[in-house]
Amino acid sequence: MTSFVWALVTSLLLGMQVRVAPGDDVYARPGQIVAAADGARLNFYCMGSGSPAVIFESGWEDWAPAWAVVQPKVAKWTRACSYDRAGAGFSGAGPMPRTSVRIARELRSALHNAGVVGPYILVGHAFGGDPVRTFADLYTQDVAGLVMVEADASELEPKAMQDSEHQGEARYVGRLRECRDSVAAGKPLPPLPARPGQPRRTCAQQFFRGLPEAEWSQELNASVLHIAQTKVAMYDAFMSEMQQMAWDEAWLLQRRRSLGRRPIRVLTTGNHGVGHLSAADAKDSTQVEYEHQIALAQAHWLELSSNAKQIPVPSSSEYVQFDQPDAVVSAIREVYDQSKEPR
Amino acid sequence: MRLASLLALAFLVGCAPKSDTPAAANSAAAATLSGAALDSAKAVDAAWAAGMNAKDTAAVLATYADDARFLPPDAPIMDKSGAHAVLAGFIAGGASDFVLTPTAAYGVGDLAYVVGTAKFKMGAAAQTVKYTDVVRRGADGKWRYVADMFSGVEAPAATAAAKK
Repeated sequence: MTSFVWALVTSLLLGMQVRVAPGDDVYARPGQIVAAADGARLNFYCMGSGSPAVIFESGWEDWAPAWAVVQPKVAKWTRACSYDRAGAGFSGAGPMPRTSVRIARELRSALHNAGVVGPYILVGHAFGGDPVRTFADLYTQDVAGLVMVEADASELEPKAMQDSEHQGEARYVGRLRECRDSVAAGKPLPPLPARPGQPRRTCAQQFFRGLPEAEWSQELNASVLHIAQTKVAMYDAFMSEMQQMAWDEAWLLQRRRSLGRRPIRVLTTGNHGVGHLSAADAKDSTQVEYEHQIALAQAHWLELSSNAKQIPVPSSSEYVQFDQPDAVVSAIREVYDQSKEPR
Repeated sequence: MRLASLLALAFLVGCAPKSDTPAAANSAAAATLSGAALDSAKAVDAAWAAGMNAKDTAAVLATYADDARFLPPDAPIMDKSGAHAVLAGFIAGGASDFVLTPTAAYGVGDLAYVVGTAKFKMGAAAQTVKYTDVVRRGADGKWRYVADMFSGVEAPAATAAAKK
């Protein structure tokens, strides 16, 4: 409860209005638990009706509540499903290692078992773009279109950038393991780096773009934080996902299959890895070049379809689904409308 | 010889995809295009630039007929899918801010050619190329490229060095 008082105070100090997504409490509880072919039991939230169904794939260290603002809007005109990858949220642990190939296979078999029939419009955010592209390569006929939301394009970046990112990932896994071990042992959780004028946070608040999330209700924030403070399997899953990212990227690089005329929309913010936009955090020249290279890497997805478009969303952080949800909904709607045209 | 050419032309027209069949393919006499009609033909360049600047492959490829030929510098003749690969690669390489300026155009019936220059940025560097396009008016009244050829306006560095 204390965290919500802090969230409110922090938001007021920043002159922000706390917005609560109506009805997001559905994500505070398990939805439909569906078994995947490999035994993983995945937690799904499906709403609305129509086809093609829209399937949301969350970023690394994120799960279904990442779509709490966007999913209900999409569900007004078609079937929309978000889910927790194996180990995350309310899903059970899945087999290791957590490669994008395994994630894509689990997702497809679980969708079939849940009775959600294809073709699907796949929406991938950040790391979620890797399993989405993997799914599209493995099961192209099941895919109606893609929406990439500030998605990772690491294997298409310059080699030096890839190397630097993988070195950073190794360090991050170490810190995540420290947090995981504390959760497992019931010890006090290590603190996150202090932020001037803001309350101290523990490592359990590192998920999403830092907890609490101002776009969520108190109930959802409490549920997410509870999972982060108690669920060891989730740490194991996220560590494995990060450890497999280089493998995922190598796999994707070898399997760049054309999607023909299937629509692809690429939302590019120029703020990759930035959780919150702040006027005080002006980018230096290195960061500007980093973001430029990521935008160029994402533009390579235009090569995958004769109906692809890169859409700039410069007024958003990496979390477009929170900062500019209508941009995400609009891109999904465009893909939805155009996916009905003959391929 | 003239008869053989006409027969060949008739065969080619008969083989053309329906959507790209010239609107006046069966007309007895092809008239020189008016200024307004030429402006419509030249407008394909503006649509192409708008598509490139919007990073929209569908918009760009809509300016090409299905049987279009794409002729980038120092490369084989390509079809529409080749154009897609090259142009998407351009965008991913940092090409932006395209401005196409037609400098000459002429047309008869449902065919026209347009010559011009294209200015754009590749990252921070300004680039200029020259181009020649052949555009054809389809049965739907829309003009589309059937041939798109372009090349640089400066001598390649290697050639210049060899001259020294």
